Amino acid sequence: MDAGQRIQLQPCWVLHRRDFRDSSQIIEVLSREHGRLGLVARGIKRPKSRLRGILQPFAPLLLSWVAGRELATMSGAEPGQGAPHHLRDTRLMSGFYINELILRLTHRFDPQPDVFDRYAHCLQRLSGDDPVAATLRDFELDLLDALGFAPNLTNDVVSGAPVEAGRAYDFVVDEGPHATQTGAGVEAVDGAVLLAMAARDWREPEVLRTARRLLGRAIDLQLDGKPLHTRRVLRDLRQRDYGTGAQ
Amino acid sequence: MAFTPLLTDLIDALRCLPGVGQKSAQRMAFALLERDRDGAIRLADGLRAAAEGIGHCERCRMFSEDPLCPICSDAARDDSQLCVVESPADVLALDAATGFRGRYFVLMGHLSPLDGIGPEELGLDLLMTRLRDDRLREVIIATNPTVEGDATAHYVADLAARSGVAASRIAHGVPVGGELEYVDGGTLSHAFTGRRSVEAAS
Repeated sequence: MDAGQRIQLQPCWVLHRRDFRDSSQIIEVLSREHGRLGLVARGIKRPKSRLRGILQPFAPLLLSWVAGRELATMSGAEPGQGAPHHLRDTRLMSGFYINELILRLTHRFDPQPDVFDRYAHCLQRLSGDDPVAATLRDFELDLLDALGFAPNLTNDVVSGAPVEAGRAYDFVVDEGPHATQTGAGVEAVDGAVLLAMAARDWREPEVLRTARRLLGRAIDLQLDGKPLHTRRVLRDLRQRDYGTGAQ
Repeated sequence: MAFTPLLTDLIDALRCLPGVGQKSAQRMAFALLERDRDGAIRLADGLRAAAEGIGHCERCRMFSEDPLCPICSDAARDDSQLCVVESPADVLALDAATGFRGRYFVLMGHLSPLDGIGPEELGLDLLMTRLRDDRLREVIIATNPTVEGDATAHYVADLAARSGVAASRIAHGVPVGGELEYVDGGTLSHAFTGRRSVEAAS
């Protein structure tokens, strides 16, 4: 995108907003065709701003902007196709979580239509009755896959042989399953669990639990040791037993 | 033009105020020095005293230099109702606009997981203690109608339910005197789903 270029009515999702100067905000959005970008929304905090109600997370939007070097300037916003997703109660926290995943794992100006579509699909599921944990694991796999960080779940790292159910594997997060022992500190996982994860078969609670751990580590690997804020807040809430768990 | 060090410091300091940039900071500095040195001293003393002396009320987290703020120490207020708001400005707005005579609790923000703002920052533990008060019958949740405000409201309602206190949330909808045509879609759909039955006059 060249500075000064006008982009009209692109499908977008708001990921996050933060205050900028007195009456403006910087809105982090995920657009389908232009990737993630930061838009300066001028005057949005003024009492009469009509855009404030529209520019909410989890609502399909059509945004227009004038491209800049680092940040673009928003020039218009309209509700997009379909009603805003209404995430109930703790499902909202899952929505914040996937927003943070996109914010932290994608780069600005890197178009990822696939990520956009899978994000929209995940929101759709979160706003319905789909089980939250399975929905989130699907999205984590989708996102890692789209960005080229998908963990190897199906083949032994050393021999390349297919993973077998009933056999224990040492799972090294940036490599995959090792049929032979790799050393201390590596988690042993049953091949059946890895295969179920690869097939996205979440019927067994054990598979979901392991997937949450392994995918969490695969995500951490891409974050260079910087923790996810949403995860910390959720843990704080759960430690106090507030709410009923979202992730 | 170069200012003297003291003047530069003053102008820089004034720029911490909301809405004040270089130009208005200069204007303020000159106005104080040219015309109102007494006012400048009063301002300086007031700022220092407030910044050092004002903390948070022990019960509601409102700004207060005493352990209890005027609302919490007012014996005439109703202990059976507690209104939970995001900011001190919300307390003033509600108190001026409504006849509410209960107590308040100020979260000093809203749940914002992406910014790392969670239960600790919002004083939810203190709120939990407030909710255990036997005299309390109803919690009125007046967080903003944003997704963060919704998430906050959910957790506050959850805490209230756990303490056996009824919780309600303020309605969001069409502004009084507004016209439907000009109301944004989100507000309108909230107003529509949150409609109330009309009692026919008998």
